[in-house]
Amino acid sequence: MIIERRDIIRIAAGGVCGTMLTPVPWRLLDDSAKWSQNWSWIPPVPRGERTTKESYCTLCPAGCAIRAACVANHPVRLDGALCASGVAGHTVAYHPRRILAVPKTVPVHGRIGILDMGPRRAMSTLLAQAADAFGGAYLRMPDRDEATLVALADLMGRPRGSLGLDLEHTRTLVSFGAPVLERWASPSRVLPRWRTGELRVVQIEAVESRTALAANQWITDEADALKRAKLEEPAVIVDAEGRPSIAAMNVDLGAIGREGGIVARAPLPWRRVESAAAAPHSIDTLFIDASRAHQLVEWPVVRQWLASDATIVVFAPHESGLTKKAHYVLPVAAPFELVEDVETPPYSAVASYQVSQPLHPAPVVKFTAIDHLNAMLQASGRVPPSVSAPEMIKQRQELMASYRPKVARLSVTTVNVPPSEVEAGGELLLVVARAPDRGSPLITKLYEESGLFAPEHLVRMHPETAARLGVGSKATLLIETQHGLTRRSVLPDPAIRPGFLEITETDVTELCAGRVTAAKARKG
Amino acid sequence: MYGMVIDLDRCTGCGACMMACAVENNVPPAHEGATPRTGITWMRVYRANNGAPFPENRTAFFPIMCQQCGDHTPCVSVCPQNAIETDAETGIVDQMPQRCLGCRYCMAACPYHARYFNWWDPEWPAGMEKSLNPEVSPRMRGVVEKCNFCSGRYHAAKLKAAAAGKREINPADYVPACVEACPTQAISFRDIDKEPPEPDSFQLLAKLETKSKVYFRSQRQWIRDLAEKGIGHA
Repeated sequence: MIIERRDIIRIAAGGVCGTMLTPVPWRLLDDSAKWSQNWSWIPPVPRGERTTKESYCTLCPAGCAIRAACVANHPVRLDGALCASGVAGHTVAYHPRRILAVPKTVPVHGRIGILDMGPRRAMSTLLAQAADAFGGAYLRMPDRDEATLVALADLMGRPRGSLGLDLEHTRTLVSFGAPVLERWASPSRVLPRWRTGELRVVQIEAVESRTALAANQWITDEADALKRAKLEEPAVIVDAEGRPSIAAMNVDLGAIGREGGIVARAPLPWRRVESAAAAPHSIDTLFIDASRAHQLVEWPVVRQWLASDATIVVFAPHESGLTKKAHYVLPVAAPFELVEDVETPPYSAVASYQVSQPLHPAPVVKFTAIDHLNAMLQASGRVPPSVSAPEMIKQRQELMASYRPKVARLSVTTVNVPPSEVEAGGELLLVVARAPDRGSPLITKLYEESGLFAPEHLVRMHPETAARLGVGSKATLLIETQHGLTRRSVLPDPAIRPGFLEITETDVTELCAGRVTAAKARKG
Repeated sequence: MYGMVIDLDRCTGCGACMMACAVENNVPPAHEGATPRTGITWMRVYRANNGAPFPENRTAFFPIMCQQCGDHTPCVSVCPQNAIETDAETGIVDQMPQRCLGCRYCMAACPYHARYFNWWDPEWPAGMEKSLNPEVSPRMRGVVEKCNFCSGRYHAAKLKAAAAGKREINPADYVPACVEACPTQAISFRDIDKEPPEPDSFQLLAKLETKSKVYFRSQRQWIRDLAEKGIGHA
């Protein structure tokens, strides 16, 4: 038999066709697909022993209880009645712009101020002691967390922190702009009762907030709001701004000392540190502890403290809007990296103390703000606070073991109310909406990837307002208030009230001291 | 058959469900330059507006994920790779990224825009791979992914039941991450054969007769109308 070239071609072609009818090519395709889908840069999932850890969230002052599912001792999931930030709280330590480098020298000059962005912690007491050691001032933002209780305590001549809200028995909560169905007080105290109809929420707010949308009743104007609310049962009034005139309405409604109203709260067995008064332009070096940014930094308030050549030093775990304002940024531990504590959550009726155990076995950064400040105190020949933060937390735990609170019944019939504050007025009103902070790398799901929250570079306004200002979508707008100037991109949104501009801030606000302020805007 | 009922009157648009979903399913953070069109959010909360002038203007939040269609599942019928399968027991429409070739026919076919394409390799910041959920494999560039009612949790519940010598899972062992995370409990999850949705509940785009297994509830008529027309008409 002679094998010709044609036979070879036939055999080869037949082989190819035959192979197509066998599992071989499909197996090759399948394997190559699997191979191509397992690139080395796609990380494998973690393996190891599965455990759970109990702790408390320290991202905000509510201190929600959490149960962390861990693999190989690393947290992979947080369970509990948590907010959007809390659900991914364990990922904050992996922020892509984590601050790790420590500057060689940080110049400390003149009068020192230490601004505490996470008040009511053991750390706060240590920061106040460090401020004393520097001969400086311990400072805080206006207390917006418990604004109404602070205003009432001042009116009643009681110490701040001595009042609480009996939310567990409140039937009707009237809120003047407070985000009561968002990140307010302890969400686990409010939301379950609102959901089951045990708590009625009346929101009095000029603009559409998430609370206004979900509230049982939304009243857009403050004038005669209480009459329109038609309160048929005992109510409690809270105000986002803590205006004395509104806080005092609780006295008229008989909400003081009543079940479900404002009640006396026993103090914790240690002294609560309060903000010192700082004269205008008196601070030459301002340290800002932003390791726990519980509050929005109202920059107009900060600016009035600062001398013209002031140095700003920020302690922060990762880059943020606030760190952009700093001359020096020093790294500190992220949430869930070290032992921390949470004192009585805002609006709580009873005093409490929680200790948050670390979830990450090996913190990326072990420093805290007080560690940096102690080093600076020692370098300048001063005496730093005698105890460390973990030691102070331990001392407080021991004090709590023998703590037996005594609460006197609260009764007030009248208070002296100062004249009403002048409302912000003008052609345009600027509203600052506080959105979840950008600590977790996954927070992009709520901003860039979905638009659920407007990113910080946008200003939302009604299309009519945009037309009046002569700007269209994506146009650049210069917004000016008495506090400053900013440039934002226009996003027309029919949900915004005509005449209002709404901007989102996550950690620092440049233009407002408070939530609403008069503004001017022009094409820029 | 498992299904979800979402009470839109209780949704405050906080986004906790979206975050919990991303944590549970190892969805990576946004790539630089990602937009709402190119981002990956298996669960996405949309804002919908009634379009009325102020003060009657109202916004509502619609949490939308794969609606787990029952009949005429559009994505299953168009997939050339058989990369999508409907589980007969649970009714879960599951996506198999290993089979997906990235043609995106399913994305075009899905009337709910609930499918997402991996435009980039998944990337987590350094160290964050330690926080990934060990039950869910990360997906690769070039494939489509979507909500699967956290089927990893279902398989874990099945294993747990099998270890205890049972065939039926304990319902408490299988709850999707978004349901667990919702602070107002607006989302409920159940075996809809045993516990059907409330009579006043409705489906998104019911006219398409996809027999979706995600139901919604609201007392507000404009929201019900919107569910019929589609949220894009808000």
